[in-house]
Amino acid sequence: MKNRVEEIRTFIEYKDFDLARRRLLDACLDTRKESLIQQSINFSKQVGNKAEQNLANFSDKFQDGAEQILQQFSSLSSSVIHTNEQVISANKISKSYTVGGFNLQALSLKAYTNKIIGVVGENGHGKTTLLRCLAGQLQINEGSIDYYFDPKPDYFSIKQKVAFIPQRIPKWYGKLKDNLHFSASITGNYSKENNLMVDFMLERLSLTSYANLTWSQISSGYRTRFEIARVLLQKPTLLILDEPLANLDINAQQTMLIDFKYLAKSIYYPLSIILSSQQLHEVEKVADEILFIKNGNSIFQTTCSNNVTHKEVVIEIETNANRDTILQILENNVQVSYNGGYYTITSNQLTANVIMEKLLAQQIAITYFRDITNSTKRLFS
Amino acid sequence: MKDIQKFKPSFLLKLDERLLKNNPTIWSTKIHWVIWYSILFIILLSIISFVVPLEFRRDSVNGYWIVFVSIISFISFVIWLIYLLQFNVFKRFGNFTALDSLKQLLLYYTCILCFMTFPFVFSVVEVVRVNSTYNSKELINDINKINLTIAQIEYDSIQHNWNRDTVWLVADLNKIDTQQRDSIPKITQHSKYAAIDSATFNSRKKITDSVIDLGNNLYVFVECPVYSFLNIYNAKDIGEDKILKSASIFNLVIKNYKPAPKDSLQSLLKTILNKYSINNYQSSINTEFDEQGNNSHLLSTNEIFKKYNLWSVERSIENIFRIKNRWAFEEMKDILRVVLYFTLILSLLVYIFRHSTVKTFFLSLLTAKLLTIISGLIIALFDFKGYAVYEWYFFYVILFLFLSIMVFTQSSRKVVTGVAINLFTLIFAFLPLMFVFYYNERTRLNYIINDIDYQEKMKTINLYLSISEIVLVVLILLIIPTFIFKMYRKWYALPES
Repeated sequence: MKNRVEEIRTFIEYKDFDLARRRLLDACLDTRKESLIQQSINFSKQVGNKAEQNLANFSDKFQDGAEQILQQFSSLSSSVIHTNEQVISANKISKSYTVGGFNLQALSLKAYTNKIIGVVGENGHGKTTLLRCLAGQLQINEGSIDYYFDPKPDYFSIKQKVAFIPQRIPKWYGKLKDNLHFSASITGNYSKENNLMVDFMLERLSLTSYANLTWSQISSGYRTRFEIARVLLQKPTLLILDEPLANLDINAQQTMLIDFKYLAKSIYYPLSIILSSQQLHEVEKVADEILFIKNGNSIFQTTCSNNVTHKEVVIEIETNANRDTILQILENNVQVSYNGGYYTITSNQLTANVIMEKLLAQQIAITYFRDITNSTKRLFS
Repeated sequence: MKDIQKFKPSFLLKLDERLLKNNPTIWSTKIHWVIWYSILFIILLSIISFVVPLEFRRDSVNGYWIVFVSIISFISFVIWLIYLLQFNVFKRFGNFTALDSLKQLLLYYTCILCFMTFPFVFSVVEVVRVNSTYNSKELINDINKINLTIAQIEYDSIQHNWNRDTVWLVADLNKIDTQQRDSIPKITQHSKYAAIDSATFNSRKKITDSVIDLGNNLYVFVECPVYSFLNIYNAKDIGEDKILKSASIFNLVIKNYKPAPKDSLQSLLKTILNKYSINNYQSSINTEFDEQGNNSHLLSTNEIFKKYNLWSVERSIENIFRIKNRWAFEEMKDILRVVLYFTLILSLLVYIFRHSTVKTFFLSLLTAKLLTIISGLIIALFDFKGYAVYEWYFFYVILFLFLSIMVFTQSSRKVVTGVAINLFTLIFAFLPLMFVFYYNERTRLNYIINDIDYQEKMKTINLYLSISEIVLVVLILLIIPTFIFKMYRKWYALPES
């Protein structure tokens, strides 16, 4: 807990106000103290006001307001241990379609609370099918899926605990805020608690100013965010998202991914998250585990936190230098392939640092660099 | 949108918010809005119905109002459906208990009942207005005055011969001794009634003016000539104020006839007739009367009708009484039954739609239509008895029940099972009614053979019908939240295959 307070203070110190605001909200929610949550919501509304942000003393005001809450938070909180509870286990599941002939073949995975699994792969290779099977929307042909949040779960209770957000979100009707209140109340958040949780979620996902609009009045990016807010209000144990980043701009993608990470590790309501995305590098940053699917097969499964040692180093660079120059500088100890945009350099003799040093020493201008040695991107062909 | 919001009263907005945050099951049905706007619309419709100029002596325009308001009712129903379909606790896998499921059905029923009442508003207001314009006692007095005055004025032109008909009362019409029949003295025997059974005898005795017992089971029915010129079918006696029958008029005027000054009588008659006379009825009614044959007595009555334009008066009073008696108990009971059953069917359809997928719902309707056509064809082609319709119904109930139960053994959502659950939900509640109709049909065949008293039988059937309606309600209250809800819960949540 002390770490969390320090973390927020650091964000404030370096003027990462929006991140500080969101983390403050998370921290207050974890206390489960209604007054403190309300206080954090009010604070968030106040500092979220654009007119307020333009004030000269905004930084001081923010710091004072946040500090007041943090002091209360420090006095309340105690040490919390994150426990990773298993929520789902898929054992050699397979799914085939009679039309189209697609097969998802013997695939296994386990998901835990506080953890994120990223499912990556090219379009049409079985990511959505896998996610729908896990969400209980599609019947599997072989294997088994065990859900651990209910001793004897039927599909209705499974679907109460497993939230699935498809890539194409069905239209909402009526005011967006009403939809959120509705979602909160159907899961037992009544009256004051209902208001509190909806206000919290709107603030947490920066949606308050859009709450009184309708579905047709917001962009597809905001639709995704509202859908996430709605689903979270139903308190799922397992959150499955199919391409949640598809409709988001680059900043929103980053924010959303970081939010997923924090939401998964919530003390108040820890989540297990499984998400599919084409944004490989972004997903790899937050996911605890990556599952690569190709032609219905799980061909690569890795734990991102582990340093997997590979025999060869693979890097991507973007430069004006031609292939011969690069090969010459690197003394032909590498393989260089070019896709028209950037070079992929593979070497089993040189490390990534050595390659970069050699190129920079020869005044080669590098506009983009990424080490994909441990990335699933290597598997895309 | 903001403009619409202005028309919403603040107390209702507060209620709406309260329901949204505390009781989503009730909130999603929008019953509070339905009740509020229904009350407003009924008040508005009542005011219009009170204000609109009406001539009660003419044919009622109630039918046009029913059609017009039914269209509004239907549009309201569609608008409600659109709002209803926006939020669904069950399909969102919220905290939705078996009791919530029943609660929703009852709320749908209430909402639809609200829409169903709209077409009857004008009808009710019209009755209130006609009652305040025409007092029933006054009407009865006027009818009696018209008949008595005409009888007095037209004494000389009316035929005063009494009808006589001799009948032979027998125990069994199928066992008539022909020799004995031939020995019946020919008095004024009417061949049609030469021999009658006790049932016919008693029914004729009730409507005839006098019966003479000739002995040896021979009776003469004596009927007074028609002096009640205005014969209002819908008029009912009110306490001591009764419409005088021909025999009573005979006793009051004809029996001891004393000529009176015709001028004053005609003046009195004219005043009363003018009260009800509407000219444009005359032509059409006369044609109707002329078709009734060449009975000399009727022809003289016809002349009287023409002379005093009585058809118009009779039609006017008939119209007034028709409106007055529109909501009489028997009529109301029938209308109420139609409304309540129609509402129930619509509510069940909405309930099914809210628990099923769109595809399965429409497939269920298609299946129901196809099965009805196929069953009808089989019944017609293979010359089944009338009660076969009910036997087919029982067969389908059992079939759908069996297919529905299969859901508990399935691991994926099957369309066939969904259709079976939908159709079972739609028809199971009518099982007790169908048993009564089936019993009625079966015993109707035995009626001739066993000679059961028809009136008694109908009483029994009506009693069974009332019991079956109570059982229907109990069945819905029991089966919906237990069995049907469990089936839907299981089926809807299953993964697709």
